[in-house]
Amino acid sequence: MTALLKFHDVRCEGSDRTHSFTLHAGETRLLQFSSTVEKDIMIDMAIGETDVPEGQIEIVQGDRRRKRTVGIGQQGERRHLDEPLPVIWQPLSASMAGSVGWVAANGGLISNLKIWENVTLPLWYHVRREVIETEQSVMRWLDVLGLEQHACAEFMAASPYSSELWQRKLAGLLRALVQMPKVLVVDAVVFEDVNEHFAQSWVTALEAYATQGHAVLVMADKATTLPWEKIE
Amino acid sequence: MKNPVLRLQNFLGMEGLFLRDSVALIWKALFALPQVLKWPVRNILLKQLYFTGIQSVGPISAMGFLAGLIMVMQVSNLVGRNELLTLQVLIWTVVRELGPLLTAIVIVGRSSSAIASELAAMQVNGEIKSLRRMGISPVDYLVMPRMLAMTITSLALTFYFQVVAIGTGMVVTAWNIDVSLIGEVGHFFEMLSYLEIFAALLKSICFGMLVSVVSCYYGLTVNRAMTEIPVAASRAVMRSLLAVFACDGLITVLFF
Repeated sequence: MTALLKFHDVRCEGSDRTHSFTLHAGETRLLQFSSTVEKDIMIDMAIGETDVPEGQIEIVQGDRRRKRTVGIGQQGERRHLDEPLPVIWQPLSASMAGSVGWVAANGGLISNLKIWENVTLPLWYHVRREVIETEQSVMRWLDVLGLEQHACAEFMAASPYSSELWQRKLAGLLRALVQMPKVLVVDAVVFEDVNEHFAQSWVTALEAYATQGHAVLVMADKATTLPWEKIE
Repeated sequence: MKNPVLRLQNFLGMEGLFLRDSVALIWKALFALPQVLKWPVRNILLKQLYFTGIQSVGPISAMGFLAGLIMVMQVSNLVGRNELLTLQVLIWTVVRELGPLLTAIVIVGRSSSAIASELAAMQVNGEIKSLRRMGISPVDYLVMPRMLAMTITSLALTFYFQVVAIGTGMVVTAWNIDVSLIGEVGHFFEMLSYLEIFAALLKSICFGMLVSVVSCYYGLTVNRAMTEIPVAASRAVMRSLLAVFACDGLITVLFF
């Protein structure tokens, strides 16, 4: 099996626990943390948004991230002239261009875009797919994710603020799946507060995704009934 | 912090930070210009052109008409039936100053607070973070198209304002002191210098760029509290106005 993501003694600030594991193609694993803060920091580190303060995260077939000594200024904090620019000014990690995808707890949608624009935004921004191909991929994944064919058009045309939470989560999941990253990092909260039918469909969809040569890492901040093997 | 020296030091430090970050933002946005070829970025650009440009045509028309009318009536009262002096004053005021300045004020009023509060809301809701997590740079996707749209809009609306204001002024003068409108147009082009056209162009470009960058800066540098959104919008408006007037003063001193 091909290794896609490796954690080497990764520890986030404020935690006394280190994480070392390897995620292979075809695997869907569950990583549980003791707090929401720790989970969020670990998601940021896994997708390359923040540096790894201790240890190393290696994305195989992508770039390698190591512990860096250069700090990045936090948004909105009061800074001095000799301090670095705000984080939004900073360049993005090269690994983000397709190696690691992410599904946010609430879908992570952009509120001034329609659902379909949200779903296609990263695809068309990174210029990876033709329109026809995108459309086919979206329809196929919507079917796997459990949305009825007749509800698709209305769902895609809706705005995030007029959609229910489960619809926003569905859109976030769909957006991540159609991007087809090597590794998909999923916040386990996605599976909360959705009906049984959708929760089951989404579990099946992630497993199907993993079997296509990808890996799925589900991160939780509390005990969960999700069926995947837990990383100890 | 009660010590006035420390307060002044802190104030100057924050101003320096604002200047440095704004220059850095302009620099990064200029480097991001090729991103406009991407459809999602182009979409934002078109939306912004519509919002800042097309929707401002009405207010700009009204202001241009009234500015031309008021100007000519006041100058006529001052200098009497002197067509050439009236035209000269129109050029001095409308082309050199009022055109770029009033257009910038309309843009600030319409778009500065809107941009700052929109970006601040996106920041508070974690949408900026979402963009970064999708590998989309907020500077490329949010700042650059707004900066480009506002610069183009400022340029186009300034020209439109000048045409409306000077056109109104000429019509009113022709009607008021009974001179030929065609003759007035001829005199206008004889009096207008390339320096005046260049200064007006430069001002409108600088104003559009400044307003957009200041608005984006205040929108993007909020923390995670809802209460910061109106503060960011208000600061963006005040700072944009200040930046526009400072830039206007600088260009006027340099050119005239």
